[in-house]
Amino acid sequence: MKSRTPLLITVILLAVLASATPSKLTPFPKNVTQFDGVIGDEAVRFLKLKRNQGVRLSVASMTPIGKPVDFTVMIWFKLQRSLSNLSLKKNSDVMHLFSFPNSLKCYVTIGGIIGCDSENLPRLRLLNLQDLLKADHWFHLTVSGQS
Amino acid sequence: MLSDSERGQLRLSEVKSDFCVSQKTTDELKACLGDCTTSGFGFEGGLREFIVLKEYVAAESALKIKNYLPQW
Repeated sequence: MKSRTPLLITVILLAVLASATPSKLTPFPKNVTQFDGVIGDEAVRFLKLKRNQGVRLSVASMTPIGKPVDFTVMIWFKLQRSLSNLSLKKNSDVMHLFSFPNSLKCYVTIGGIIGCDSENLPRLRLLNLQDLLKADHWFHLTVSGQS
Repeated sequence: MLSDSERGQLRLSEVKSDFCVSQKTTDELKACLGDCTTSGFGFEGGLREFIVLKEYVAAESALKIKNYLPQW
């Protein structure tokens, strides 16, 4: 009988220092993005989201219904406010970074925890970054799961 | 000397069970920047990139990929 291989989670968080005035899809000079992973002469463009301006993206069907699937999610993000002033979900201490309906969700807590929930494994605390998560600093987060 | 891609980097690798993406309906899978169950999705801040791969990428490979992703 074939045994099930444990799922492996890999989380990488890259904290980079880049102070820039947020603006909607606006390029910024290279000299303020020294550690944000941008190569060559690329300028940083980003989407500024307010809590009432979400974005829903279509993702090609990934798996047979109800079956787990290998995945990797990569995201570059920065917080608009300090941890103590995060825009929180109602009756909660978290602000979600991204989510899949009824499936994987990853979030930041007011305590500086990067965490994720999955269907069968809620409140998985991945990293405590209380001293690093600051407003207007770029972070790169990769979450990967293997079945 | 640390390269830019190594600077400030934190890593965690551990083994858990039942940590996965799954799909319950036949509808096209959606991803939300923020929380799908909240009006407006609730995220406040900047987003530069959001990439979903249908495969597992090991930590070392992910670090190499990071610097070669296109910007938007």
